[in-house]
Amino acid sequence: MNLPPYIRAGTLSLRHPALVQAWMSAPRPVLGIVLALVVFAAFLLASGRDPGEALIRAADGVFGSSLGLSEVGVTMIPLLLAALATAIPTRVGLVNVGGEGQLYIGALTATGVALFFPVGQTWLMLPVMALAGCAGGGLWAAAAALLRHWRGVNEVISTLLANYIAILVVDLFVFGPWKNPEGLGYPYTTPFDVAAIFPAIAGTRFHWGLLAPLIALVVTYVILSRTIWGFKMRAVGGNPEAARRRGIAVDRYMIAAMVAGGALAGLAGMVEVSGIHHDLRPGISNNLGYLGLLASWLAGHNPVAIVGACFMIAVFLVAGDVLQLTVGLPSAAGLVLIGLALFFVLGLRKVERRAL
Amino acid sequence: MVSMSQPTDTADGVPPLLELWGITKSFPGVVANDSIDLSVRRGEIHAVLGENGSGKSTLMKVIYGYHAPDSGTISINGRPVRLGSPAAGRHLGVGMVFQDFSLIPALSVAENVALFLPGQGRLIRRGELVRRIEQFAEDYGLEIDPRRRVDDLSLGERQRVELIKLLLAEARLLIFDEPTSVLAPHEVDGLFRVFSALRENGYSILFITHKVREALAVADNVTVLRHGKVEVNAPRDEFDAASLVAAMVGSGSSGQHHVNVRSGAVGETALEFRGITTVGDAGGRRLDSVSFHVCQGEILGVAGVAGNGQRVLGEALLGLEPVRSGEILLFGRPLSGHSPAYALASGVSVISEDPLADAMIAGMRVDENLLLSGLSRGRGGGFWLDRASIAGEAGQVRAAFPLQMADSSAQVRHLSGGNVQRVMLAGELGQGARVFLAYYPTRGLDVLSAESTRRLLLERRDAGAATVLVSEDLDELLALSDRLIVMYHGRVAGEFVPSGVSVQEIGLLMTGHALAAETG
Repeated sequence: MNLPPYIRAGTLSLRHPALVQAWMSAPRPVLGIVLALVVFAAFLLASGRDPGEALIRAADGVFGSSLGLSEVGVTMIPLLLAALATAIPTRVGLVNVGGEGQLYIGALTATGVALFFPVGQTWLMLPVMALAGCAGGGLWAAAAALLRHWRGVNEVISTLLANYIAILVVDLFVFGPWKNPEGLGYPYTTPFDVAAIFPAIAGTRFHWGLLAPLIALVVTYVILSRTIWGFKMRAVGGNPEAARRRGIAVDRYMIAAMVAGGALAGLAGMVEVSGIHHDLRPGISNNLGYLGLLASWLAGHNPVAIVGACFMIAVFLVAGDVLQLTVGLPSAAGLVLIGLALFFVLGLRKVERRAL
Repeated sequence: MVSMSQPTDTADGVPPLLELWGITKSFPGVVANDSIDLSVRRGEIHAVLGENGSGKSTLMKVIYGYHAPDSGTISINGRPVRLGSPAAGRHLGVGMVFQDFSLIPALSVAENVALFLPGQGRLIRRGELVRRIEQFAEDYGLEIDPRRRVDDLSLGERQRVELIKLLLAEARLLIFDEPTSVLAPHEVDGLFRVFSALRENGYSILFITHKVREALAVADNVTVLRHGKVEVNAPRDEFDAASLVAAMVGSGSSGQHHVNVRSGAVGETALEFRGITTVGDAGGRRLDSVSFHVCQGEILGVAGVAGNGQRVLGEALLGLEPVRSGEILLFGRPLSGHSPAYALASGVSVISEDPLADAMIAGMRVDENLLLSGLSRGRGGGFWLDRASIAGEAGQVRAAFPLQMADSSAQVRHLSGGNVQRVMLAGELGQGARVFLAYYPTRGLDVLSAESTRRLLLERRDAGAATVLVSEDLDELLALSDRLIVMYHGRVAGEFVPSGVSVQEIGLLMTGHALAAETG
């Protein structure tokens, strides 16, 4: 048998130049994901399961049915928006860890419109709810941006802490004044009117809320890469002191980027309540805000690459559910896979930098 | 002029503690140290004096073992040594007190000292250590409580901790890099008393400074560096303030440098500072009633040792430093509470003293940086970012700039210091500004580029630009300026025409001497 040069006498020499060369030439994220799958398979082996079978079942469950594919799509919709919520502020050098909280507040404000200001037909109702969601998430993020502007409060801390507040604020409403009087005591609001719901696509859970991330992606990409605004945002993120001395209103750009990010996270919240839950309840997000953050980091904050990262995360999440049903793994298996992938993709980026 | 003395002086037969022969150290594009000889005896305080960029800090890093010299010998106690690392230097009894201290704020004084000392093993005998620290503190008048946390200490106190660390580690040669820059005036006197006490006990001290007064106050011997070479080396008694300043800034008589033959007449006043006072965060005056004006077609030189308010001029002009009292007039119109954008759009250009810190975006390409510069003057604007128009802008700048410039597609982070400087100069000088505030515009440039840059400044002047030129290099200032002001402690200490003043007079004003004489 013709073994590659880095395998000698049955052992793998990890530092062999030929292997290092192979590493370096493969696309890094793909490599990271492959490594994550290898380690995950080792876990499965150690717990007495057959990784081959699990992989086939998971792949079949995710890609072999319209149900699996539609679940991937359904997960990607809010994920893409939450990822952009992190990616946009990074352009000006800010870190938004508050996607989760901004998503909750956006869901809250959109729900407020759905319940108390039914403005009419779907074509009018949904855009107004979307605007309300954007406003809610944007204002929630603005608080952190202004705290930084006026008091120098680190936005990583303030956006993170605001997440816990946001979740409790939603609880306050759904356990209190907005609780459905006919809901048998469950902390849900009254179900939305049909005009406030994104129509489903082809009888699945996939819904027309998918327009929101599509529009957001295109607009974000164009603004960041093709306009003077985006150019100046890069300057602010690259060297705020130089940008200030070049006459750029640095603080304004920072606040605007943070608000834009928050608005997209808020839009994710609106899409979730309007497309999936059709009411507001605790736990609507299931960590989508944080997963969006991971996606953005995996993608190097590049709007195009974010689509790939979100697809991967959505596939792993759905695969986790499939494995729970078929092989009896806990559904957290999906999160383990995502964690491993992030670890390897970011770790390889580091290796690459050192190798240069 | 002062006579040169041989570095080696072994009349008593004992070799010097430290001896350097022909130390040369180059970095890409610049020779930081050029065949430097230096010797320090036991119990000697030796001052190394020079302006910024004269090679002082590099030399200290060579002695400390941080940089390896390209050529030359270092001897300690008469034996040649190779200092491959700071640890090797420490091992041989060479210790350095850094400008930015290497203490851990969350730990106590004693714990910081313990971390530094070798051979402590795993257990720290805290009581023993505290006692020894207190002993040294008492012996040398270094007031310090070993139990206090470092983040509660003032900068002066932290400096004492650094010193005690070295004393406990049995360093015999103590190197101080600009030790007084973090101290209040009364603390400076205290530090010099400590120096004297250390000298009595046989320690040798090598300290870097650009302040003539300090060298005269405490040193036994003085070495003056200029452009990376030893300009002069002699006992302190052979110097007075004027001769030291002359050695630092260059001794050429001002007359021979006048390449500045004006072709146009001076126009109307372009920029005027009227009694500008600004106050820093700590409450001190950063600018104190500064008044000057510069006309179209004129270069106003600003002499002074760095840190005497020159940088604040630019911040006030851009509107980044709030003006407490006074008025800035640009073409007769007052600027106040304005943004940088307004100043730039009105034709102001500030040529930064540290481009990578506050003028250039290191992560962007050369042409993108040029576009930013153009945008600040209202050029290449609009909503859409058009790759072709970036290229056009960069091409125009390139065509108007006579110096070699890096490729448009190169990332600024990958450029050498000289290339960064040229890109910045191209962006500033080529974009139609009418009022320049230029900080050290030839810093980091090779001789040829520096000469072209000076010619470019003169061309701009002849085309009617008003220029304020800030420099430490008196030769350059005298060659280019139509008028000169000297800044000291945030004030204008004097104003001259270059032909009517000697280098020595300017040097004295730069170091506050004439001012002290005036006020008694």
